[in-house]
Amino acid sequence: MHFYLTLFRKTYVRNFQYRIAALINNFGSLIFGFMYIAIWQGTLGSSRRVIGFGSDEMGWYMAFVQGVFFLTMGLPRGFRIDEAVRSGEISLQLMRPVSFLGYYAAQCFGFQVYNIIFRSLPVYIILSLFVGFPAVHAANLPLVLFSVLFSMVLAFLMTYFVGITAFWTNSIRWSFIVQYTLIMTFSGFLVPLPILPGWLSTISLYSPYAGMHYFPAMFMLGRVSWEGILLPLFWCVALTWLAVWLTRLARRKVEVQGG
Amino acid sequence: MNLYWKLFKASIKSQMEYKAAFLMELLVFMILQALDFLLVAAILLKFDTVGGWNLYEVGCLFAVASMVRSLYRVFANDIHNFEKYTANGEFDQLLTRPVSPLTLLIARGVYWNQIGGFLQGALMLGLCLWGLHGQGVAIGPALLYLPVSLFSGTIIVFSLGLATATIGFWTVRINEFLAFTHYGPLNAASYPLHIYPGWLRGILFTLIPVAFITYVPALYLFDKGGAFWYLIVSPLVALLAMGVTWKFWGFGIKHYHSTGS
Repeated sequence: MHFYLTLFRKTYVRNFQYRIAALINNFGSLIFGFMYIAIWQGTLGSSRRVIGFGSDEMGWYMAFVQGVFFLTMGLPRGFRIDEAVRSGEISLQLMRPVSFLGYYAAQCFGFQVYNIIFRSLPVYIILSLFVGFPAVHAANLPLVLFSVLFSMVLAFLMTYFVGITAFWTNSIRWSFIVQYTLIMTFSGFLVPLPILPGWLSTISLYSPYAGMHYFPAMFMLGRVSWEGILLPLFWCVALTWLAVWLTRLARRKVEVQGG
Repeated sequence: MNLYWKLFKASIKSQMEYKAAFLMELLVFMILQALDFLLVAAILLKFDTVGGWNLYEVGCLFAVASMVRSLYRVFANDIHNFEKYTANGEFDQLLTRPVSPLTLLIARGVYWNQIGGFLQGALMLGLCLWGLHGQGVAIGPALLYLPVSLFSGTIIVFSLGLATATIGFWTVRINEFLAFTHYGPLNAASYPLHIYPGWLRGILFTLIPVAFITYVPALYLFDKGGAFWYLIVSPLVALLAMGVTWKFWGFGIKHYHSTGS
C-alpha cells in the first residue's frame, strides 16, 4: 500500500512542475466551456426547455462536465504504456513485485487529484461565476462525490484499455481514437444523453460511458437516481475484472515474445 | 518558389507510399471532425435554430472553419507543431541554412494526411448549400466568395499559428497555448458568434480574429444584417494579421536563444 501511496504522491508532484502550463491551458478550456454553454443558451433562450432543462440548468450541466472532463479525458494517452512496450521498459514494469494494474491506477489517481486542484476546480468555478451554481442539497452531496469517484475509476479503466492494446498492436493510435469517439458520443459531455435521438440515447444511458459525465452532472443538478449509482458501480466492477483478465493475457504475451 | 515546388512534390510522393494507412487516417480525421457537429445536430433535431441560424447556415460556418483548419495543417503543420523545434533545439539547424527558416518550415512537408477535414468540410458545405438552395436562398454569392473565404481564413489561422510559434522562442513550450490560440477559437468560429458573451466576442474579433474567417462574411451572404463591405473586411483583416505576425516572428528570431542542451 505504501508503494502505491508514494507513486500517487510522486505523480502528483511531477505534474505540479507544469502548473503554469496547466493554467494557460485552462484558458483554452474556458473558451470551449463558454462556447458549449453559449450554444445551449443561444438555443434555449429564456423560455424553451428540453428534458426539463431550461437555459440555467443547461448552463450548470455544461459547466460541471467541463470540470469533470479533466478527470476523464485529461489523462496521458493510454498512460503511455505503448512507449514502455516499444522501449522494452515494459518487461521491467512487469517484473516488479507490485501489480501492474495497481501501478497505473496509483499513477492515474495522482494525475486526477492534481487535475482536480489545478484544472477541474478553477475551470468549474470560473464558468459557474457566469452561469451560477446549482443549489446542491446537502443530502445529495455524498452521492455527487461517489458519482465523481465512479467517473474517475471508469476513466482510469478506459485509459488503461487504450494503453494495454499496445501489447498486441504496437501503436495505440487507433484504440485511442475509437475510445475518444465513444466517450465523446456516449458520455454526455457534449449533449445530455436523453437528448440524443432514439436508440442512441438508450444505448448511451446503459453504456459504461454514461457514468463518466452524464450521471455525475445529473446528480449535481439534484436529479438523483438509483440507476445513476448502480449502473456505474456495475461497470466499475465488471470492467475491473476485464482489466485484470486482459493484464494476465498481456503478461503472457510478453513472456511469449520474450520481452 | 522553385525550391518550394520541388519539396512539395517530394512530400506527396513520400506520403503516397503508404496508401492504405494514408486513406485510413483520412477517413478517421473526417469522422472525428464530423463528431464535433454531433452537438449541433442533436440541438437542431429538437429545435430549429441556434441563435436564430438554422441547420444549414450553422453547417456552412462549421464546414468552412473545418476546411480552413485543414488547409492550414496541410501546408503548415510544422508551424503548428513548432514545439518540437524549440524544445529539442532543432530550430538551430534551420538557422544555418541559406534559406529563411519560415520557408524551410513550410516547405518541410505537405501533410496530405491532414486533408480529411477539408474533404469533410467540402462535403458538408455542399450539402448545406444545397439545403439552403432548397429553401429558396440564393447561394451564388456564397459560392463565388468561397475561394476568398478559404484564402483569408487560412491566412488568419496561419497567422495565429505563427504568432503562437513565435511565443515559443521565449517559452519553449507552446502546445499548452494552442488550446487558447487554435483549438478553442476555431471551434468557437464554427458557430454564429453573437451567441457568445460580449467579452468572448471581443477577443474573437480582435486579439484572435477568427470572427472574420466565416462569421462576418456570412452575415452578409446569408442576409443576417451584414453589409456588402463585410466581404472586403475579412481579407483585409487577414493581411493585417499576417503583417503583424510577420514582424513579430522576425522580432522573435532575433531574440532566439537555443535551448543549448
